[in-house]
Order: sequence, then structure tokens, then C-alpha cells
Amino acid sequence: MPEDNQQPEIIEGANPVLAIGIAVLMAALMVAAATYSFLHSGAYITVKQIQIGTRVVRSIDHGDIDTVSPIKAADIDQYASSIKERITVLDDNNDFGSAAVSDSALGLN
Amino acid sequence: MPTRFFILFAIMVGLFFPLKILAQTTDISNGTSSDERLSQAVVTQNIVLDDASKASIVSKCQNAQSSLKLIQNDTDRLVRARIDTYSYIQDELQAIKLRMIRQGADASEADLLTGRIQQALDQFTLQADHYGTSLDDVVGVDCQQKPEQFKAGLIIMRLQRAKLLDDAINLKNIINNSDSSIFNQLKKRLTI
Repeated sequence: MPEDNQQPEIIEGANPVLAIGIAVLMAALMVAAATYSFLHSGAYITVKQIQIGTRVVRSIDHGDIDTVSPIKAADIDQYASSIKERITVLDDNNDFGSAAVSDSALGLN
Repeated sequence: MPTRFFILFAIMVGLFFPLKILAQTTDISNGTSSDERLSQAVVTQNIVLDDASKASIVSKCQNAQSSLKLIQNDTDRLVRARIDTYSYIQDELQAIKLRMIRQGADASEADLLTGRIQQALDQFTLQADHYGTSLDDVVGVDCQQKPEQFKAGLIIMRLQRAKLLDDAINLKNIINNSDSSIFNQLKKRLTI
């Protein structure tokens, strides 16, 4: 039989272990480069700031807020009014408006 | 085989070189020190002072810096007050959610409003940080020696303050516009 005399085909130059090794090395380098880029980018600074802000919010103790008593639609109305009253007190234009830092306010005229 | 290594190396360099450039560009645009930021601002704002303007700034800038220091302290307090107020509102919304859940009512709108506030609060906090940095730059610059930097810093600081005002107004609008989308829906759930 002619088939019995055939030898298994060997592809010269292809080493699977080496190929896998190179692929793994490339993946590791890609991860390292991506991590490096992220840590030195503005995005990472932003993430850190948001984390700090969240920690501050979580650290505030609001044990006085009722979380158990039954609630009615009228309570929602009352609450909606109460938060609007509280934020109305915050005068954005007075606090962050341009008047306080104008040339005349700073004596630069 | 060396040809394959060379091709792989070329591909990797091609992939990562733009990434490194991008990371460096971000650092440059933020500026790493007050002096760098202000020097960059002088260029971007195209500040050129004649002798009379320079003399005017030099004679008045220290008093202006004293006033800005007071504004700096006030701003820290005002930003803190807003963060505390809106954070407390978020906690109250979570409490309402818990109370509604105990009655078997869906309160997903409370989460929606909490999320909207958080998003706006993060933006406000970041902007407050940018504004604080620009204010620090103007207060800290040696305005007698570098009047151009003082002038450029003042322009940037005013710009950042305007953005902070926009973010503060946005926070307030989220609450003021929440009647129909949030509170009316919550009330409906409790009246069914």
C-alpha cells in the first residue's frame, strides 16, 4: 500500500511552544502597556477623585433618617417640598457668580 | 525566524507608541505645576501686556490676591455645603425607597433620582477641584514678576468659576425638574 510508506508531514520552522510563548508575552506586554497608560492618564485621576468623594459620602452618619415607618403619598409631597426649600437657600449666582471676581471687585480697575 | 520576530516587534511598537503619546499628551494638557499651567495659559490666551497695563497690574495685584484668598476660603465652605446637602438628599431618597419596599411598592424612581444627583454631584466636585486649582494658581503666582501669568490665570479662574456655576445650577435643576418624572410616579405607586 502506498499510503503506509507516507511519513507524517512536518512543517519546518513552526514551533507551537514558541508561538504560544510569544502570544503570552505579547498579551502580558499589552496588559502592562494599557495599565501604564491608564495610570498616567487623566481618567485615573478622575476615578481616584470620584472614589474619594464616594468615601466621604458613605462616611457621613445619617442615623436620624427614618427608614422603617409606613409611607403615604402625602409624605412624598411633603418631602418634595422640603428638599426644594432646602436647595432654594443655596444661592448659586451669589456663591459662584462672576461679580465677586470681577476687576472692580478685586480692585484691578 | 528572525524576520518573524522583527515583524512582531514592529507590530507591538506600532500598537503601543500611539498609546504612550496619548498618555503624555494628557499630562501636558493638564500641566504638572502651577508655573507650567500659567505659562501655557499665557500662550493659549495670547496675553501681551503693554507697559501701562503691566504697571497697573503690578501695583494692584497683591490686594487682588488678598481678596482672592478670602474667596478661596468661602468657596471651599460653599462647595462643602452643597456636597453635604445633596448627599443628605440622596440618603433621604434611599430611606424613602426602603420604606416603600417594606410596603411592597416599587421605588425604582428613587434610585433613578439618586443616580442623576450622583452624576451631577461628581461633575460638580470635579469642577470645584479644577476651579480650586485655577484659584490656587492666581493666588500663588508672583504677580510682581509675572504679571502676564497673573492676568492669564485670572481669565482661566473666571472661566472655571463660570463652569462651576453651571454645574451648581444643573444640580438644582435636577431636583426642581423631578416632580413629574420622579415624585409623581412614587406617589402613584403608593396610591394604587
